[in-house]
Amino acid sequence: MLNLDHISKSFGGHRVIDDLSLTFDLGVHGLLAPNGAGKTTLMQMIATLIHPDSGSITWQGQDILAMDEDYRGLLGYLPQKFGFYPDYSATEFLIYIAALQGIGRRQAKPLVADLLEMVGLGDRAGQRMKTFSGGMIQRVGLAQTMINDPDLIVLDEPTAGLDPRERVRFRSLVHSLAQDRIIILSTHIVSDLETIADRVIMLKDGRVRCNLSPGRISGRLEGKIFLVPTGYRLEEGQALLEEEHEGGETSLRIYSPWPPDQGQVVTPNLEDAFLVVYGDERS
Amino acid sequence: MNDFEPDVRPILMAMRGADAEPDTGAVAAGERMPVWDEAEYGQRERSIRMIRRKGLEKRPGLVRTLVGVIRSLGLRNLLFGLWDCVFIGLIASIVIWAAIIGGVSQTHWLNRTDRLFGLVVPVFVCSPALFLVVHFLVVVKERNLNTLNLIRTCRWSFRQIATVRMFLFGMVSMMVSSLATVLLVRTANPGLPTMIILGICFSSLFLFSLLQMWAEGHLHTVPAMVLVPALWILAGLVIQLMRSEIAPYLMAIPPILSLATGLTLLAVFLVVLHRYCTGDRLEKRVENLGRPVMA
Repeated sequence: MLNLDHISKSFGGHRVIDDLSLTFDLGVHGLLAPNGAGKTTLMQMIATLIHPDSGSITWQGQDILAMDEDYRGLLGYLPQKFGFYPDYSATEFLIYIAALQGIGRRQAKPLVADLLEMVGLGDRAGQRMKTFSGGMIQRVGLAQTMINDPDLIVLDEPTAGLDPRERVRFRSLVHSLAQDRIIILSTHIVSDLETIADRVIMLKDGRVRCNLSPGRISGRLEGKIFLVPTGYRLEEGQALLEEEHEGGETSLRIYSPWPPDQGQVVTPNLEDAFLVVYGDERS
Repeated sequence: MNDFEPDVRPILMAMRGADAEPDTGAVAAGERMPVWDEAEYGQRERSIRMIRRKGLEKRPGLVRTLVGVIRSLGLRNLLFGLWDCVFIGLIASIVIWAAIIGGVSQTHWLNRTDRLFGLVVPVFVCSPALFLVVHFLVVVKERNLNTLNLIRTCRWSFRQIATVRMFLFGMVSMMVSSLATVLLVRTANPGLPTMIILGICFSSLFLFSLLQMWAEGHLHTVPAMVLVPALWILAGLVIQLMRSEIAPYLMAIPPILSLATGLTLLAVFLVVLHRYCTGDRLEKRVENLGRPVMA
């Protein structure tokens, strides 16, 4: 279990993470927030790349900074900008990462072959990584997070820059890894989390605004999301979420605590919740 | 968008789950982080230091790090993806030293002081060349490829890897510079013992390395990479301009003292690397925790 206890972090006087406390158990935990909300800072603190100004992060009750290499040995981390050496093959690169994780070359070779097979790159294992697409690079990135069979996987915006097909493939890979691990996945793409996250954590102003399963989050909005005709005048307390176009007709999807005139109630989804929480940041 | 600022507070309250923290803000933070006076702060710092000393395993020193890293990772992984930087550095320093040796061999017609400083200044300025070029290329390449963040989260500590790399670059530079210096002295025959020139070579190399490490620990990347090389070139110019004043002192230095100075700086370089290896695990955490407000 990973525990974040009242952690704060500021950069240049701006508080990015503000007295935040969270507990992560087995499963996929999605950090959902717009860009600049502190997701990467939080992920980097969990990955020990930066240290909290105050508060502590503990793994099974031990401070992760004091655990040092013992903690890093159980961590798999995919940074937002995954760095690799373009002139080396995926196999060479993963054997190198295995060495940095304390795994010998002989033991690493079959492991690397299995991992590349798992991410669907078995047939490209010997090719230089500079010939790979963005999606293939991300899959190598995911494979490297698994090289030490980690208990905790931290994925920082893993689907950024992937096309929809690659995103679906990536999500199913993450889902298959989550059986007996803690996976923390940050994203600003709502659909990344809707199907695979056990819990969705929304951050705003460096604090936790919501920490629930996607279903429960949507459930909280049950009876509060409506389709209304264009030209509908919003009242105070209501919020426009988006315009919907269907069959040549345009309607407005709104949040309203009460049923509006001419309003048709619709099933809420995670994106509605995202827009409700962060709507003011879009305007 | 709508004209109204929607009041989403009720829905935020509703969505806040059991795990979410109450929005207590600065009041809660203030309650948890009392302001100590200096005496209380000092007492607290001493207690923390004692707990850390007793509770934390020490990091391995330089020798154990060298043995551990080289045995486990090998040179192949220690410089994975960076062999091109090493190769370019070696080629660059061979070209630099060859040019200097070629130039110095043409200075027989100069007077003794000019001939002497035609050797001393290049030895001073160029001894750290290999260290600088390889180190600079490695830093630039790793930053451009964004590989550092990944490496720093692996089980092998990047601190240890960086230490071994610095050690290797320092030792290889020392060997190359020594060889080039001996060749230079043989070519130019400046009338000064080889030990003095070797002393200048080692002193320059390790003083440069120490200053470079300091700069990288205290400055942003670009100024850190530029400052010390610029200082070195400037110092070379100053030595060249003041050669008549410096020459008598240089002639009077006992050869053993010159070499001993160089070797002392080598020892300081190794001690600094050792201290970097054994650096406190919780240094930054403790530095940042609960600093008193000195109003």
